[in-house]
Amino acid sequence: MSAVLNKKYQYLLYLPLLLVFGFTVVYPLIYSLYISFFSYDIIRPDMTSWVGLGNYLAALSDPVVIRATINTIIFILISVVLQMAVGIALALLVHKEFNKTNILEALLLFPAFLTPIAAGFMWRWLYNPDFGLINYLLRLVGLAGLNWVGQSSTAMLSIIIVEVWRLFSFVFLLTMAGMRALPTEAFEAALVDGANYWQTLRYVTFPYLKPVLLAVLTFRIIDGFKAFAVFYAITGGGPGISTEILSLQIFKQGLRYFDIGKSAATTWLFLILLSLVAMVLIKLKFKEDTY
Amino acid sequence: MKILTKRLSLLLIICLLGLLVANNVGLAEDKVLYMTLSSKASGILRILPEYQEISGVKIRVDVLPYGGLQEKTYLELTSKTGFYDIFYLDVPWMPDILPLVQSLNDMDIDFAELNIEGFIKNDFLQTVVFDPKDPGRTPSLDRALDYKALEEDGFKIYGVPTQPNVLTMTYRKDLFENPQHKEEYKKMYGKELTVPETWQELLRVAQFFTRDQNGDGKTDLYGTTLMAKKHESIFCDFKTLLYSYRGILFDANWNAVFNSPEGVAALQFYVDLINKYKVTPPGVTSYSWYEADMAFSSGKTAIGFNFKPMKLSENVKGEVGYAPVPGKLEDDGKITRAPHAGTWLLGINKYSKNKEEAYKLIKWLTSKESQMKYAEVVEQITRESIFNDPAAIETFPEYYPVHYQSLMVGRGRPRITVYSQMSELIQVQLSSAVNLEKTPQQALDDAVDAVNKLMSQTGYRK
Repeated sequence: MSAVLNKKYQYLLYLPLLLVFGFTVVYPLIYSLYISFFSYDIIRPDMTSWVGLGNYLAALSDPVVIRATINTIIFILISVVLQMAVGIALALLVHKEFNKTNILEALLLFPAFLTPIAAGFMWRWLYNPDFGLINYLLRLVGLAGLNWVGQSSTAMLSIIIVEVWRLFSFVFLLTMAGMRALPTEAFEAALVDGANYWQTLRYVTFPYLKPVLLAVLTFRIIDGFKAFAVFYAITGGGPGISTEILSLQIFKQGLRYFDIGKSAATTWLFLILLSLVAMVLIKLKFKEDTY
Repeated sequence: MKILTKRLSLLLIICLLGLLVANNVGLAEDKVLYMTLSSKASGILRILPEYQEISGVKIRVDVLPYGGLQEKTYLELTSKTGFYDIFYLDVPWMPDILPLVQSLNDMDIDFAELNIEGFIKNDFLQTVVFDPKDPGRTPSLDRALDYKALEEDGFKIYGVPTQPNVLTMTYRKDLFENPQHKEEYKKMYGKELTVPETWQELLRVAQFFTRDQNGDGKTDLYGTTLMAKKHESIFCDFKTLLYSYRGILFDANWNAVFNSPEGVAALQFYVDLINKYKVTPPGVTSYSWYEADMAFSSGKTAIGFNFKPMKLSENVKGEVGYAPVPGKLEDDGKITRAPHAGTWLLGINKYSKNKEEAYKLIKWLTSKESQMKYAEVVEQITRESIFNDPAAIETFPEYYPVHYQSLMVGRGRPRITVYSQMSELIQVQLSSAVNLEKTPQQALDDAVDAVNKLMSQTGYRK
């Protein structure tokens, strides 16, 4: 009897968690799905009307949303590849020389500690073509400065540089941790077999690091979708719509235009895209973990 | 167990004390007004303690930057809790939030005492006078400030103007008055070097001043700043030119029509200043009002346009003067100026429980006596009598007349609930034009298409 009671009782203990989870995650999620089918006017709630898939169709046929989606993907592809490349390269470079790299790690982590919005405003001034530090330094060495964020051709690249600067240390740190945990036997065996540096890297280090790197990649890609503050601070989506990304669009639709229905619909499209990407990544990682 | 009880009691006492401090020991207060302010409302912030002393009413203020203020305002108003009694409102939000702002006509107030005739008419009518049935309607700008007559025509008053922002020009007086420059200019153009009154004069003067000052072969002084970033600022710049070219944004049926010959000529002029004549600093396409201010104050340009009187930074030697934004020279010799203007207002939350007290505070903050105290900070003055009072403006005599003159002809934004969307759609295309990705005609055609689509979707266009 007491065992049965205990079993029943244990479900009761889940209740606080379920309540909190329900109110803070499930309810807002379902509500956002619900209002995505309405033309929802927060000022005049009485004029709210059912539009079915109207908001979804409006979002899917909105050239700005389409461009924002493409920009988001381009941004993630380039910035994540660069973050991974810089982070891994740096880790490979220093892990032998510094067995205790605490100070270096702390220094490298500094950009990641900065609030993204503060980092964004700081770079906005650094990039300023007329009185920013970057062009000043370029001019000192005789190069003509660039209108970094003022022209479409370089605006996205400029933001990618900021994001790589801000976040490569995450890759660096986890790669370092992964490398410290590598079994020394394999390396010794490689050494005995006469493998050179690149061969060791290709056939020993990377295969061992693969699970860690895949996890890092997953984090970086999912985080890439959440990029917002730096875009908001530096370009606000411009010039034209060259740096418009999905998160910025959702913010503008929701909290600038107060077009809550369309904003919710775009959020759901965004969520579907993100879930698809996450699923592929997790599958990849799962495959890797089960060798 | 004893120790545990002791510790718990101590913790409880600390929590209670914390709660009391957090509540500012405000248990005995009876009258508290809550208001929002923008971080630019320094004049009001400065004199609020005085009002608290006179009236005994406590005022709690939340000061926010622009973006945060708009979000806060919308979310607070729509929650209908009435938590904030007074809102610091930017005029483009008004058509959207009008149903949630208290009209003064529906309160028991003495309009004679408020003395609305004392405000700058053009500014007052465009800032606080709205038709609740048709928020898109603007009263004719030459009519008198008579609340009864306005009410008869369906208009009500939704607050009191404060902080009038209008585009003005700041120029380098030392450069304009330099005898060598004067002589050189006369030789080149056969005319006296004067502060530009028309767009053509602006171009000529800007070309004249775009030069290499220190002889290193590189241009280090430019004619003028503009605010050509994809930002609200580029729309304000374009609107100023458009209206002075006698173009309009919308016709009477809310069809976007700014791709008219006037609109194209206006944008062509703007694009040419940047790309053809190159009289602006090279980075001007990433300038909003912040960067424009910095460019002028650091001595990069001879002329600058902004919504405030700009000054030179300490390490730049020189003097500044102020003048109205140039306009378009008409065939009859008149100049049409239409500097962008957007004034803030103090409005009462429709759901406030302290409307009477809130009104009293607004009346006090916008009275002539209070506005006299803002004279040093310029930003909050909306009464005509202050501008005409030499004693009041002696703190800044070179700027006040320019500000006043500009407010008299300033042109506000279209009154639509989808203003932010509309502005963004146009900003994108203007930005493409200044970056030479599209011709002015193409950019404006595309902007008109996008805006018309928006206006149809939102029911403005039938």
